[in-house]
Amino acid sequence: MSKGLLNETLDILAPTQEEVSSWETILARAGIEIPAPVRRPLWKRTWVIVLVVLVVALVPLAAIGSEQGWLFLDHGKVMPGMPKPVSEILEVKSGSWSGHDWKLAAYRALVRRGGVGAGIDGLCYLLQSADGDQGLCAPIPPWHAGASSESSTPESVTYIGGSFNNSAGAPDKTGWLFGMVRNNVAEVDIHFEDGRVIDAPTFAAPEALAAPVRFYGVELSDYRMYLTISKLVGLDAQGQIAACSADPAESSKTCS
Amino acid sequence: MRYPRALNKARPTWVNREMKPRKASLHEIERIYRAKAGGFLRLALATTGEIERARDALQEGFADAIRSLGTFRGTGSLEAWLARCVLNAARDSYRPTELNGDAPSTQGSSEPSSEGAQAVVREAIMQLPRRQREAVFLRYYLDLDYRSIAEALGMETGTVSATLHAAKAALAEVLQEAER
Repeated sequence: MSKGLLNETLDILAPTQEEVSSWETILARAGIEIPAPVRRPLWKRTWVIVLVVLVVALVPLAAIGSEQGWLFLDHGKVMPGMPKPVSEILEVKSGSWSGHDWKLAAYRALVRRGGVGAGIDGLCYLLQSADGDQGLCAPIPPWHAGASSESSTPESVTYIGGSFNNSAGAPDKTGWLFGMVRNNVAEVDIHFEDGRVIDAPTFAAPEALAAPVRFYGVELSDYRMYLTISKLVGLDAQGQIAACSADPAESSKTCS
Repeated sequence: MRYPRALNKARPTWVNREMKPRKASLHEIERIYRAKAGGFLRLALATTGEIERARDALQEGFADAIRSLGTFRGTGSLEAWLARCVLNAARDSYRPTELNGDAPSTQGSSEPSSEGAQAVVREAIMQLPRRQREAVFLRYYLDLDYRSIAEALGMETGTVSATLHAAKAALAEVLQEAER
């Protein structure tokens, strides 16, 4: 008796069947009623699904948005290259010089020293005019802290300068100079290479800016005459030097 | 699948098959069914000789097992117990027409001469004593070990080997006679 022959015969006797009764059929025949699975209400499951989707989507979105400053923390548009605002962009002062309207605005921002590293608490200010915006940012600490040893750091008195354009879009003679200084400075003396000095009174920052700073700004009747600034000296109400920005490598530009 | 608690109550698992009887759960039956339903169906088909009867016997055998879940003593193989249930249902399904208890006719048995040796063997299988025939079926279609075959057929384990040997010997003899 060949085992192969027996196996073949048994296969023929009862060949493998493709279709077999379902388990549910067996249960029904046995009289077993399968309780419907306890399902949570649809709205609850939907709520959970939506929550999961939101979390999955928003976590990386928030991280990217926070990193790049375009989500949640964006309080307004600023010129390209400027740090994104983390506060409202506040008007500091506005005016018109020689027919050119301008507005000085400021906002809080995370500022990176040298454009690298983690951002630290800082302030940005920008002059807005029909010719476009120009701005500058600086960290708040430590230059406003008042320590005398810091008074000669380059950031003690900051400034931006430029000129307005004429109707043809070319620079005209009207120049401007704005800057930010610690809040105990009443006046900023702007020293030029040719020895001339312009006194610029400071004005208060908006309270909403919540920063111990003041601003200053002057019109330069002919900017071409003031091409090179030698140093910026901030004087307090008693006429004492409270802040200074000069190149310490050049003794001729010391603040004393 | 979730079942009513009464049908799926946690049972003590057996540490020693000989010493610790256990109760079966519906989940275990379902697991066996899903894994080996095809084999059980072939067992029923070989026994009844007709596919619809076989399907019916398969369903009835498992349904009966579920209904009788509490009677499973747990001292043996659940699979063997299920095979016994299916075999019982299969036997019952042909009793009305096979009152003498002989083997049922098979689907291909109407033309045995045309199938040569296989037809002879098939006829010989169906002419075997019931226990020998079913032992062969259980061994081949469900791949049961001797112990489980013994449990399914209600015989001593030691006699399974002899039963299977006798079945093969009888088949060999039939085949030899057919060749003469």
